[in-house]
Amino acid sequence: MEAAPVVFVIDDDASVRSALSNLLRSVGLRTEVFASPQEFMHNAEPDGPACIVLDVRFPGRSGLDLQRDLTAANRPLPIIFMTGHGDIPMTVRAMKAGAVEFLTKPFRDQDLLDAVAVALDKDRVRRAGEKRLDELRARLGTLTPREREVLQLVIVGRLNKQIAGELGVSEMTVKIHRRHMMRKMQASRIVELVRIADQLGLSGTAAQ
Amino acid sequence: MRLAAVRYGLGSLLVAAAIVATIGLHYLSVEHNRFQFYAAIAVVAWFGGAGPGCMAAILSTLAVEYLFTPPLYNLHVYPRELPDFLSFIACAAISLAISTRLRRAEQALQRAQQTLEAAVAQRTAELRETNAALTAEIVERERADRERAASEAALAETQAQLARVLRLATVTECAAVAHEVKQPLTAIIANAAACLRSLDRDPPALGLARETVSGIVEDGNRAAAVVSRIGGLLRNRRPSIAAVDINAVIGEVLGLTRSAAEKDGVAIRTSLARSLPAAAGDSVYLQQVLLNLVNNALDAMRGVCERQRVLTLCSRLTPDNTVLVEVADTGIGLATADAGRIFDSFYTTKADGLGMGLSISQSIIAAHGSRLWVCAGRRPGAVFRFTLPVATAPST
Repeated sequence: MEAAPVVFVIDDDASVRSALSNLLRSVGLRTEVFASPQEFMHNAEPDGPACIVLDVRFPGRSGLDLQRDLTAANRPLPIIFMTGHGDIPMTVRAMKAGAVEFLTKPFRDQDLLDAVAVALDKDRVRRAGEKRLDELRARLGTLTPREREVLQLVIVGRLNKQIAGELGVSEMTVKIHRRHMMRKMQASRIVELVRIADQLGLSGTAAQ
Repeated sequence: MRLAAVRYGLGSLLVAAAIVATIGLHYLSVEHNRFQFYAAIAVVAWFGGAGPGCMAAILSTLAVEYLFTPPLYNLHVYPRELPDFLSFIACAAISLAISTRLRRAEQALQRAQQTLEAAVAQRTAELRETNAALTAEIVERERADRERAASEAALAETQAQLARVLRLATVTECAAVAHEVKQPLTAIIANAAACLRSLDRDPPALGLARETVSGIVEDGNRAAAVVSRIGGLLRNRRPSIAAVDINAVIGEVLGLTRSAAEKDGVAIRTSLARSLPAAAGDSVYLQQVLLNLVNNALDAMRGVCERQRVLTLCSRLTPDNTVLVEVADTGIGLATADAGRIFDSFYTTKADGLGMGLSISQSIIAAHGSRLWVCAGRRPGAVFRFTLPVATAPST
């Protein structure tokens, strides 16, 4: 069913990243290790829930830069930061930018595993939401232009007669389009259709 | 002389006045009055002294004999007038003698008084001088006391400062050790936890457990190496001057700071003279100085983004046969206002600096009989240099 979760470990210290990888593998998690944020950026999109365990300081671009880049690239993977110095301003910045946890080296194994569990859950929820959205977009894609017009008018509360008037067709034709549209969108009632349209970001005011 | 003439002249005048007075009294029918002559003699002797007194007596005797003793107007004396005349002479002599003696006594008294006054004045002056000297001595002693107190306070302050410096230096070095050890420690904890979890699995994941344990051994050794490497800096010991391979010291310091430099994106360049003679110095203290200079250089470059961050370490033999070591960076450089003060204790240009590093470094180099100085680089940044004497027994 769902692809196995994966944890990306990014640290420039080889022994730290292999040790963290060992720890995560010991609880049955899949890991991938990278020596730098740049190396990670070339990595393909994971096919299952994922999160990043990231050291803050790197030569060149820092861990915080990677966090910003991922957000900008619409790859909002949950990040667990690690640092050698308990740097409060940096912690605040990272947490504000949506980091799951900020761990100061050396940390307890359980703290990391708890943070990883939280991060993977967060990503799972995000992925589920995205998956549903993709599905809804696919449904919307199957509509004909006329059916789409009918949908726009239905969700702002127009009656069949009004829609027929606006589109310049018979009420019977509207009824047929409407039935096809509801079936394709897999909505049994208007309330459900309005919610789907809302998730897809189809504004109710668009047709007015 | 003039005073004497005045005295004799006055004597003659007084005698003349007595003659005039006697003549006047004759007209008033007062005969045989000779007191004005006695008075004149006494007054002259009193004010003029013995000489004018005698003269006045003789003049008076002549005047009395000539003018008032019959027969008048010659120097004869009638026998019946003789007792009268002789009594005049006796009285004149007596008044002369009394007046002279009184005058002498008076003068002696005056002299004694003057001597006494002079003696008193002298003693007073001496006392005043002694007093002034004493006061000056007291002031001097108080000043000396104050100075001694001040210098004692300064000494105590210096000692306290030194103690503070040593404490701070130790704290700073401990922080460095702590940071260097954190990475392997993180790895060890993670691997150990992984090992336990692998063994708890059913069936135990022995392959993974083995992998984690070998990682633990490796990181344990790494941590130990860091501690022993930095431990040398912490040991509190007296400097012992020996032949030092300064290039080796530079290598050790770069080993300690390389990871920090890489994290900051600093390129390290070295230009170390080959076949450099050994320098006379204490390798541990020199390591401390170089570590401080390198860390300063890295700090100075942290805020620099518009140019490449380059740390350059050079060593070479100077024409006057000293070993020169140079640490150059491309950092923010030094403001001229700071350049004069950077070697002062507790003077810092860093937000979190203690202001001790360069001060300690300079004293260490000074203890080697050399100096540490800063010079403006050709490029932006700062260049620190120090020299060391060449060891007397050259290494071959």
